[in-house]
Amino acid sequence: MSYGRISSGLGTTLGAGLVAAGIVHILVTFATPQLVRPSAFDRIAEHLPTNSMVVLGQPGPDTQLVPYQEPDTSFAICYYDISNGPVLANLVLPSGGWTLALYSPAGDNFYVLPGRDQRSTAISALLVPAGNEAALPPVIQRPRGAAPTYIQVPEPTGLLVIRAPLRGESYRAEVEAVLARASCGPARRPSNLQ
Amino acid sequence: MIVATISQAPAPAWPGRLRTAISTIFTFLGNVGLFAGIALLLGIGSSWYMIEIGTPLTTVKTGPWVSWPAAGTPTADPYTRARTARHGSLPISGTVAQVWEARTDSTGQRLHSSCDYSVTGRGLNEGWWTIALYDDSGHLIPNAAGRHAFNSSTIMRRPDGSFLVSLARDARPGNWLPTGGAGRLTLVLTIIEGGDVTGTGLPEIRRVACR
Repeated sequence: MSYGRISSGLGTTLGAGLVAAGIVHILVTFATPQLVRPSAFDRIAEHLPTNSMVVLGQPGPDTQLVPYQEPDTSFAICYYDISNGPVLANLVLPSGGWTLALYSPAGDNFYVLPGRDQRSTAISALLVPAGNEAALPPVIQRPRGAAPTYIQVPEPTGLLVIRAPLRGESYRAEVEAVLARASCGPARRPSNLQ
Repeated sequence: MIVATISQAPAPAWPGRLRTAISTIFTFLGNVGLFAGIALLLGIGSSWYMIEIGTPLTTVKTGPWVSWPAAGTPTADPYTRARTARHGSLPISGTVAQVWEARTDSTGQRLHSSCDYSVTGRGLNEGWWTIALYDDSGHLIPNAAGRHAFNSSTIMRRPDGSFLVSLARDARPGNWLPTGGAGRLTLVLTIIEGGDVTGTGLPEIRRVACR
């Protein structure tokens, strides 16, 4: 076998190997989110009832639900499912550092709202399906207060997460009381409110 | 009269044919092995690097601190998305939070519980921030003191406004975060609505001593 044929064959192999490496790179990168189980969503959702706000409190080594969960933050989470109709969440973000975040099952934080310093923010959020504005339910008026904000969610299920910063032990009771007042559940039709 | 003679090349002897066949087989196997090796090692290795280490395409680096700004967002690139999935975390969107991770000290040495570190910072006066210590897998480190983090409210600052956090196995005065026997460590600084800290706003991590 001549030197020329060997080097030509080697070049072809190297070239094909590089092309195949590119394909493997793309496949591995895109497949990773699908292959890694359980996902953060799975780990949290399996502990929660549907359409109900649960105060989980501050995570510790034995109560941490997902890796890198913030340890000096108290959590309240609602695993929502709008398959049978919109879900209404009522909550308050009393100050800066507090956040409301909504996640899809893929872990995408598609909606986030931070609290504001020295200004309490009351939120009434109606979770409705995304993509079909014509099918949105009529605005649901609460007996008292303003109409809720529509939040379009990309998939029927997801997580609504309230993060409450713990500024010290003396604030814990106050923080957890605010979280305990937060609610999440099926939205009632306007006729039910009249 | 013309006599034509047809001469045929002599057939190679059996040892010669065998040598050629073996050579062809080994060349083929070598090429297949090289092809598979390049495809798998380079393909998986480069993907791992982009997902775990990151490049300027997907990360922002300041000293030992690394941030993945697109983490958690619906428009995240495939590498950031794969990384978030691999870590199994639920990051808050980069639109309101900056999450900085440090796995090394400021000289590039891997953070490890067999060493003590001093984390010194100044600034970080805006917004809410928290600095938390985890093991290599993102789990909180069990310790009798129940300490896992300090934040902008609980941190004790010096008179000049700077602060020092000690990472050590045994108790230290001031802001002490116990490292236990966790092995490799990860320090995470999360800032909610804190403005740009990429200049000099991030703490320095200095190794004090190792056992």
